[in-house]
Amino acid sequence: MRTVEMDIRGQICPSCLLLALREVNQRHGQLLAGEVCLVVLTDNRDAVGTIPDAVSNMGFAAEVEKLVGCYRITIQRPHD
Amino acid sequence: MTDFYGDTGVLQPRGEDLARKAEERSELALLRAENARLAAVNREVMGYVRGKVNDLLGVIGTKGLSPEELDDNGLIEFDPIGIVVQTFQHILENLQETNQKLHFAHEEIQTVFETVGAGIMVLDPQGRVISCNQKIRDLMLSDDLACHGKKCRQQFCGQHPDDQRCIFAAVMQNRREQRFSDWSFKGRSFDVIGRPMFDEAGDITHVVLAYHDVSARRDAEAALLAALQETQETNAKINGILRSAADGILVTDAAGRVVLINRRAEELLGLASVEENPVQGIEQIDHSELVELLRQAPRREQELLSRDLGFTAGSSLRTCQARITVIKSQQDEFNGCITLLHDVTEQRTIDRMKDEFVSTAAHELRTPLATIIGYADLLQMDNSYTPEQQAEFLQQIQSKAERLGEIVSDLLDISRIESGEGVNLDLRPLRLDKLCEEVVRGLRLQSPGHNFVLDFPPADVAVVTADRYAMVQILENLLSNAVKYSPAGGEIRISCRVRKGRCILAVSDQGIGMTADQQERVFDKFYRADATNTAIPGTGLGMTIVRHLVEAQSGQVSIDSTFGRGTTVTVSLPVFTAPAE
Repeated sequence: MRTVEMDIRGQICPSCLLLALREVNQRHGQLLAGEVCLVVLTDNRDAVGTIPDAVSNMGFAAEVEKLVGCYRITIQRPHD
Repeated sequence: MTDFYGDTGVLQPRGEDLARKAEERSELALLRAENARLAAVNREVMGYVRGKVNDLLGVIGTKGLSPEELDDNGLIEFDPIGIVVQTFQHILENLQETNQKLHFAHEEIQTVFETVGAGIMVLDPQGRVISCNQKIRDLMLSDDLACHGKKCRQQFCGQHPDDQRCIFAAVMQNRREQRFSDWSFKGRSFDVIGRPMFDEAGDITHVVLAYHDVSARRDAEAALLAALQETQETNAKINGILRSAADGILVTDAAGRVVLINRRAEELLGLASVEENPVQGIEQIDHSELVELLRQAPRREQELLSRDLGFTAGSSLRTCQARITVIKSQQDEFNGCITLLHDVTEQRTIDRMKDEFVSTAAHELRTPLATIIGYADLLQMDNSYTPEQQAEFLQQIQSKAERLGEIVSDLLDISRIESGEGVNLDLRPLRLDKLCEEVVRGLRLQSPGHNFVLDFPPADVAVVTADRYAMVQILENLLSNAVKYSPAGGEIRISCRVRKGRCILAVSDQGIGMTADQQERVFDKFYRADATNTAIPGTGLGMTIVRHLVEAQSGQVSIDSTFGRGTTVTVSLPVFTAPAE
């Protein structure tokens, strides 16, 4: 599985959510097929709630990990 | 038409120019107005778009976009509506897929619900039936009454007014899964599981009850338990029989481990019971010869081996016949051994005594026969003997013939005793002192070297109830033993006392006496205290016959002897009492 990383640090909501959703929409087929794993780096706290909620409604699994000064949100096809 | 330059001398536009300019101004004004109107429309449209964008962003749970954050051009270029719409499309696709999965899951659950072996019922928090499967209807409803919306307590549980047995009440009270065993309904037994379902607020929304009909299992369990109990009782009986069997029983497996052993084998082999020590092996058997036989068992061709082995049981030495049977599987593989230890100590002793008896009897019969044949030959072949010599020869022949008669008589007596026929007794009042004098008189002539003393105090003159012939036989046996085993002579005392209605007759000698072991066995048939000494005649039957004859006359006989100092044999007989007239 290939990992695609997008760094949206410095962006605030709703831009970071929209940016993340745009990326998810563009890679929707690859994500569904399990070919790609999307990693979003953000320092916006609201995005930690909104991005996982939105992508889980789309049927993806989102895992949030706190790093130094930012969060890493990993979005991929849920495990069977 | 207007002059272009006018009256001022300044070049005045001409009238047609003025008209064109006025027209241009008018068009410009129109354009400006149109432009202002379009700008207003544009603002209105962008405001609408921003409002809808913010509405959409609100729906997906985020903040609105301010113009400062993204101007109108940026907004059009960034296309948040397109992003959100596409997101919604994906969400809808996902929802459709999820709905389809839910539909299949629901179908599955419904199929399981109806086909599962258990009766399942779903209740609301008020105990009303929301749904139930066919099994519940089959098990609990006598007819196909609709139960939906009715309280299950009224519908089913009229017979369980006690809340302790109402699983719905227990689930509602404890707010967690409850299990009841042996819940009975209409003569059937159920295991019941009740589980609550909660909403997001943590309130119970449903209670699911599952009823497993365990009547058949309970019956089977009861039957199994009874069978198990019966098997255990049978096992206990078999074990009891094996444990208490007189023969030692030892069963070992292919690895030489003890799998069964009874009490007698434990004593003989120094092993513990299987219960006490389940892992003991043949190497722990306290008998090297048996251990070796068991070790060789897998390699032996014959399936049964019989061998006499000596064992120490407590303080006594025992001879046991060990019969080792090899256990083989259907494939002829060695599976272990069954060893039976049959105590043959007495049998072997009797066998040995019989052998000794045959030897002794042959000797006893041959000696007088040789004398008889010798004297008969002398009388037949030579007529030169004087009448006195001939009379002496004939007397010797008679004496030896009598001895042969005695031996044959003893053998016949013991044969009768052995066969259980007993001896015919003619019990009459008999004076013992007179009888003893009579018997001793004859012995004094035969054994002049011995000093026979009759000790019959006048106060103790006894009349006993006895058979005269049997009493003579008893006295002759006791006195001849006293004579035989007092080779150096000495006193032989016959005493008689009356004590507590019994006459105690004792024959004492000062002979070689007996050891304790010899005393113990002196009444055994064929037993001779010193079988090696063939100089002392005897068949080993005398004392056996004495005891039998005494006991047949309601008497007892006992022996008291000190090795090297002498022996006293005491016979106790009932004193004769005249029948009351």
